[in-house]
Amino acid sequence: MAKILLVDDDELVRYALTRVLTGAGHQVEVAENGLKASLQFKLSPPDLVLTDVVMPDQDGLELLREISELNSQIPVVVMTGGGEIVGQDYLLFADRLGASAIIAKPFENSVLLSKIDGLLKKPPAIP
Amino acid sequence: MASIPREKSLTLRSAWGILGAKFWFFAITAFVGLSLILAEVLIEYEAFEAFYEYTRSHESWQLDDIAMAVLASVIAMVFVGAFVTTAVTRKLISKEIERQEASLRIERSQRLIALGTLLGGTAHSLNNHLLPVIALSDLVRSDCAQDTPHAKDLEMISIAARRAVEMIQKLKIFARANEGMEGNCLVGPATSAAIELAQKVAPSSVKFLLSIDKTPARVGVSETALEIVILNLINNAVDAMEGMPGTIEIKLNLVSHLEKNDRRDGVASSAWVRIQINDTGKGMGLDESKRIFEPFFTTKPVGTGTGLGLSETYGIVDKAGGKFDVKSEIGVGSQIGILLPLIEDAHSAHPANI
Repeated sequence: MAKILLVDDDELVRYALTRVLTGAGHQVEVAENGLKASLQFKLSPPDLVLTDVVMPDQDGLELLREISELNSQIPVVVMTGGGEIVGQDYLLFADRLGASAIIAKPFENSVLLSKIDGLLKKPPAIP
Repeated sequence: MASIPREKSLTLRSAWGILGAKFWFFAITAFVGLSLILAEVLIEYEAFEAFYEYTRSHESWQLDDIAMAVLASVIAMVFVGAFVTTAVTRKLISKEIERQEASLRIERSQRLIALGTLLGGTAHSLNNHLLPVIALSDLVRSDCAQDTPHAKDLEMISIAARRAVEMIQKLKIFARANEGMEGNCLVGPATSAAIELAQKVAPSSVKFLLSIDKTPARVGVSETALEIVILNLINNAVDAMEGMPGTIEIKLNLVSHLEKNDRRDGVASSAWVRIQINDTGKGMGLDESKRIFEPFFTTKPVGTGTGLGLSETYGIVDKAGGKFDVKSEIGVGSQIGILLPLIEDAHSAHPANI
């Protein structure tokens, strides 16, 4: 039972994941891009962030950087569409920028939920 | 991949083609016309008689010989002049052809990459669309009693969606292989080829200093991928010069490079190749030099370039187990080193067939 900030520019993805997460007992706040997400993050800090990586108007990587600059202990799970621009590796950068986990769409509900549970249980890392 | 033909020789047919029928028609007409006019003039002024009189007017044989020599050298000059003009023109034309071919080849490469990007974007979209299908049908199914028709129907939806996901994966693999991004190559020849390509389209204000070790060495990037890496870095170096004259120094040598965390798959590699690209451009500050490989990071004005070149380069090198070494000083220039581990020569250069 945690407050999750869900960030994705696709409305059906937001709908589906909201249903899955609330079905597992979590509370979900949504944002449609990184800009809105970072505002929401500051106004009402969640227990976990679940974000897409490629979005217009500040993508997931920039959001990640913002969050890591705030020295936040809040875990961030990055979702990739698997179609990231050929030759580039968003996963590399997500990793370097401090993503707690990376998951490729489309995934099993159970995989997402167990990753989230695992991250929520972890005690905050010693700075 | 076809290599650029060297020194394209100017054959008779190609000369005709390049200069065009109109030019040749004019040239032939001019030749005939000028000959007739010159002949007419010489006859009018009784040139032959004048020459004859001149030779009869004195007893000195030497003067006659000198007169003949002068005449002969005039004729020779005409021939040599024509030859020199042809040679110069031939050279200029072949240089231009080479430059255009290099441009076309780079464009073709970029088009393939753009196609790859399009396919990648499509795959991303499709994966996004399939997520609600799988997530929601599984969610509803978990609420249904097992072995009911509803549960069965939902299971079928799920299976169909998963098959679509597999297809997208296959498409992506195919797209990558088709682009020539998979495989390995001999680093020396591939680097030299890429540099030649870059030199042909670089502005003449940029001088290249090259030092390439010819020892055969194989690295885990395809020729196309290495070309992209080197062209991207050279492009950046050229841009850093902002139109001013400058030098790009490119060195390739084999190095023994051992660091504690250089283990790939548990095996330490001490045989590496280092490609060093040093430029005399405007240089970068510390902050900028740390961020250059990020996707969409660019210091160029809006509208020029996508900012993707170097992040693409980073991805390619990282995938092959390599790393970068970036040094730069504002006002002096940048020194960018690419380190790639060598791979065993047992593999063939051809990527797996799909």
